[in-house]
Amino acid sequence: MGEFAIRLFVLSLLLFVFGAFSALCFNRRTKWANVLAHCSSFLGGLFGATTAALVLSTKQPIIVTAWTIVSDVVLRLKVDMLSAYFLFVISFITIAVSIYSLGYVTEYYGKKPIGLLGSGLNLFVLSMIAVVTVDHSVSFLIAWELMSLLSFFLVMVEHEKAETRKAGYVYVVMTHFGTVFIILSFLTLFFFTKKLDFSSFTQTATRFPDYVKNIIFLLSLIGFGTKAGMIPLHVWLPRAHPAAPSHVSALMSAVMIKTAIYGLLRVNYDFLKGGATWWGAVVLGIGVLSAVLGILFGVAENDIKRFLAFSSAENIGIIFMGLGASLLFRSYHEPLLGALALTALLYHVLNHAVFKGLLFMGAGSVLYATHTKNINELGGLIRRMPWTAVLFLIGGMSLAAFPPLNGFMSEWATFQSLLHLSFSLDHPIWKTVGGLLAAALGLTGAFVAGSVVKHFGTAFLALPRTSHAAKATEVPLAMRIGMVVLACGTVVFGVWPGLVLGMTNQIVESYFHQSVTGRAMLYIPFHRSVESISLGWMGMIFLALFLLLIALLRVLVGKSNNRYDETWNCGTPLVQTMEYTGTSYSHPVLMIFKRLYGIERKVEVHGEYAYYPKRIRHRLKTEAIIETKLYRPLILGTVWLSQRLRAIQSGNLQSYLAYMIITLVVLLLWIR
Amino acid sequence: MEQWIAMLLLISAIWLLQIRKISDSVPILAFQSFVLALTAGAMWYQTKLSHLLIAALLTLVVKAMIIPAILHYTIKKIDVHRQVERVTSKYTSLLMAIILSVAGFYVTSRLHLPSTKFGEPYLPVSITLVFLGTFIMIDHKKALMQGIGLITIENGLFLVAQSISYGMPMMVELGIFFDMLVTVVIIGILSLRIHSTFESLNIEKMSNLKG
Repeated sequence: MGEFAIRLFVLSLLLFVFGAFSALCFNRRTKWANVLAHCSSFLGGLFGATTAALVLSTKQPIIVTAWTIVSDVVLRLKVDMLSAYFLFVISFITIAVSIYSLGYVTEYYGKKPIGLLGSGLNLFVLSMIAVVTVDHSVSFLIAWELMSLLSFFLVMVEHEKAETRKAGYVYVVMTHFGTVFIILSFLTLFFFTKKLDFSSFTQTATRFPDYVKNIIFLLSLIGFGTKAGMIPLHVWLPRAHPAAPSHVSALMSAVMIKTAIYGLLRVNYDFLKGGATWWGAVVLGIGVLSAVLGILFGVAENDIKRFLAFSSAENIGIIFMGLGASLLFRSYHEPLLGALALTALLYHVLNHAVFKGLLFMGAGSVLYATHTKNINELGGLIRRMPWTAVLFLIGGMSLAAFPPLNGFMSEWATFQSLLHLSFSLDHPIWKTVGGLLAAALGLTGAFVAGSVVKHFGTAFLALPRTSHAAKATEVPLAMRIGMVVLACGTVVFGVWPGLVLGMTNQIVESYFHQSVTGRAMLYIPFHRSVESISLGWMGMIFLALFLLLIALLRVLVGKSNNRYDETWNCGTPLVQTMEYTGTSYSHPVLMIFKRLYGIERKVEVHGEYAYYPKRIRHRLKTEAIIETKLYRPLILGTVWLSQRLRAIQSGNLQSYLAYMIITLVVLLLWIR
Repeated sequence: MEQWIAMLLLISAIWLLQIRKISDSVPILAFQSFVLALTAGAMWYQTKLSHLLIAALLTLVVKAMIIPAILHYTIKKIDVHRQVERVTSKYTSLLMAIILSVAGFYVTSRLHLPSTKFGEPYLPVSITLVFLGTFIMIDHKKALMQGIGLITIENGLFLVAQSISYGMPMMVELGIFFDMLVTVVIIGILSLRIHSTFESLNIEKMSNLKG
């Protein structure tokens, strides 16, 4: 069995490599390049997912030794339980994205080199798989850097736009900022173990003194947190995701930011095996900040992809809340509750990947059909693109945590973990904070639901606002199939959580020695092992209630009767500009949180009499407060410092030589 | 005896800082390289290591003959019989050279480098040569003098290698000689180009090229 899994895994890796090279070779023949690249990534994803499922079901880690880079640094791919789970997530999303890309890249025929694009996609997926499977810190950093650079190239596909170039720049700066901290955390580990491979970290890191553990924790949190997009290090997310081609942003948002979660779990659970209480508190704090602020920034957006990017920051916040709760329970020696929180977080990793991938594909389909991402220029798409509309709605409902879809299941499990903070920990602070955190998560959920309504309602319902929207047609079959795959995922992972719990259980067991699993329908222990409640049945009950309500209405009111009539229009003809826009929908929220958005509002009334204006101009300017208040001073300070430092760089050969000889003499004098 | 030869090397390096015309530097450089060849030859005589003889002959041919010839040709071609230009005055540069020489001797006395029996007397001078060569490059403004400073640095390094371990392996030595030759040819060509572009060899004018 193990042999078979290894062969399958190697085959999947080779398929990605094959896809990358064959697409490059056929760069001139766009159609061939498209088919070759995406078929091989599809097969690669399929085999990868199978490997992961095999590893998780047999509980046998597999090891593939590929290449001895230098005598001490071996490129070895080791799929243990944690790796296998993330491998499954990556491969599953890759399957759907590959099918979707077959249709989506036709948009770029004749404009962009398809071979390069397809090759980049294959290598990007390969690098992500490498990130979650390698077991050596040097090869991990190489894979991590490759992943960052390849995704940067993919973001820059539409480099002729100034906006994209700016986004790419911010992305590459931020991602390297994060990498610096990851390198530092590995160096700290190396400094105290004198080894570079993960297994020695695992064996010796628990014996480190506390301050070293704290340093490693903080460095890894900043480093991986930047990639994950936690607030306030999220600034690249809302820039890079909208700038990238949609199938790439689906991969980046659904999977790439999850590799950071993998890194955090690897460092904090595998190496350090949990730590002080304040670790959990810090992660919880960042989580709640990311969740609430992320969605508050998202509500104000009118660009679908920017909204989805902000929502990724919010979901990372939810995942961080699970991680924080889990670390906290671990430090209080509550293994069962810690296991529950870890399950919730792992479950949400998969679920977010599935529905966010679906939503980005939906946004991509809208972009494909209408060439705009601004919802205020859309409208009425449900009649022209019924498939996309329904699939986007499924994704949106899952995002808004509607039972029985998968988004609900994991958010609900996170809720439970947060409530357990106040129920099960005998500490006055957690009694208060636990409840507040759960309330904050509830607030987040409400805003998410609001923004989903805003985006779906404005883009898909009512009349088309511009000719772009009016001329839209349904997207090609391949794109629809890609979305359907993930839509099925949202339903299956929601209704049958036992499937996912079977996978996460191996990981949770290895860290907490507690089993969180269930029969076909999931039972999550509510408290200790006595009370238990089934997520699956809860979903079913909700569905049943819903159906019952419809049936009841049918009996009481009778068959619904429709009357078609004209809308009351104050005596003027109905035009599209009268429609409620996305901006107006989110306006109340903007007004409530005025401070946060830094709103500048201007109303100009033109005309002789104020009561009979000829023209009213309403302008609303928001500014990203984190960027102006946090990043601007930092950037200005750095620029100031650099300008001072530039004085020594005169461009004069003699002064450079003088620096050299002064350094030489000082070194020779100082060396003893 | 070794001390006197070492002093000759030191004087030649300081002399390079004090010249009036650029064309004066070529014979001094040839003299310096000739003394260098002499040291290698003396060491070969004492140790009977054959590769020292090869190094000595190569130094004599390449550094004391071919390179000065190229430089002489270049100078004749550009027709710079003019005075050298320095950043500091003549006497300040002499003071700096003395300070650097003292620093070189002081540093070597502190470092306790693992020197060989016959090479030991040359060690402080060799390091001082490196310092002075760099200072020649810093002090002089004419492009050709940068090349002469570079050759002085190389001479210093050659001597360091000789006094620590009787020279580098033959292959490395050959490579360095070849590099040296190419460098001088390039310096010659570049000097010609710079002269024809700027009507001057003053490298300060080259900072006008900066964007």
